[in-house]
Amino acid sequence: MALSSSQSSWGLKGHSGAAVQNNDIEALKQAWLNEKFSPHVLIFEDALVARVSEDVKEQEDVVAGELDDGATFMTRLKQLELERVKYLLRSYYRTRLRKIEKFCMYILKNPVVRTRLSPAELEYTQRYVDLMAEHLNESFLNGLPEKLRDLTTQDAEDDMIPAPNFDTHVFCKVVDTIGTFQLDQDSSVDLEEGELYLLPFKPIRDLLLDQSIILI
Amino acid sequence: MAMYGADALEVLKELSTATRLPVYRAKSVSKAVDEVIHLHAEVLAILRERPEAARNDASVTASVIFHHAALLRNKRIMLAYHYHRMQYLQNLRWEVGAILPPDVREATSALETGFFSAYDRLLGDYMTEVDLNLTEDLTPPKDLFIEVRVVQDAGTIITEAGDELTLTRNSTHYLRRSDVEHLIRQGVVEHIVH
Repeated sequence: MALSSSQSSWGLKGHSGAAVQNNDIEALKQAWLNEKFSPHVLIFEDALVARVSEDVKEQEDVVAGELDDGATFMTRLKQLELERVKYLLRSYYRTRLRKIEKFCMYILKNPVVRTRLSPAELEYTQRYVDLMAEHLNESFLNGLPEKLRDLTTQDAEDDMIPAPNFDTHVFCKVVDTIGTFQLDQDSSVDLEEGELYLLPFKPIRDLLLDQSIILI
Repeated sequence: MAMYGADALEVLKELSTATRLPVYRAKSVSKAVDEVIHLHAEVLAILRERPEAARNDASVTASVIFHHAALLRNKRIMLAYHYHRMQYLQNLRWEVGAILPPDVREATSALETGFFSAYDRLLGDYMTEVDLNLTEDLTPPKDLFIEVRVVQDAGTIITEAGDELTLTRNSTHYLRRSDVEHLIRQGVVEHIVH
């Protein structure tokens, strides 16, 4: 990032130094990228998001104070950097919401996926499903013969629930050397630290969850 | 009836090729619902009156399967129709804000208008929860300040810094991007690019 030198001059109080700040921003950026490129919702980074949000608030106060004393060039730089961090935060929330809306019923019916959402996101999902179902029911489903009203089932149980497409490929970078990794019964791949790969998403999704790889 | 599902398909096609939201086709929807009821009754009648034939006579079995497939298709088309309109309204909430533009308002059913308000509340509650207006910054920020020209009188706004500013038509201003971003999307002001 071009302004990384200005970041180190943020001079945060109550933190062990500017390096911590930089790491958080980098981590958020990576979480955001992972989220963007992954077909399904990943674990919500609640601690990270909370730390960054708090830092943003703190810095906004600092900047507001400096603006009262007359804006300097450095203040403007800080303001711009703040805007960039806020964009990351917003886009991170947004990217998740998009996927949550799209796969809302799949998420609610899947206990493992539910745990990846923040409490606020889970509530959002529930309310969104209710809202959608209510709208469809009142618009026309209630007029259909009773057996045909179900929103999620056509022939087999729950066969009309949109689910993420796991049969897709993703670009990823290996963070820690994993060694030989079994992709499926017939093929395996050597995952070396720092190397880039284009891999099918399905077999590697657990590696993403424990952060031994990142998406790019 | 020329073809089962023809009406339903027509409104879905209209929706998928339109650039603006077409008027909600309440008549076609209720027609499609009637068709499903009719088809369902047919299937039930065959199964009730000729249960043996439905199982053993290939032509009767085919008739049952055909009617059943036709009614499911009708239902799927209707689901797609309503779902896509919902998506459209949701996108509007993100891009334009909490108030429906007049032409969209006219094109929506009462239920859809209700859905839009409910979605607005849902998103509003969530944004309060995360303490961040998520509909800002839909594109990555480049400049802190931008120059804008006012396209239509918009009264007085209050900037993030707490200053009052009156937007009269054709006046130009140099403002924080975050203060006017939503006005640009609504078409109230335009971004002057040199």
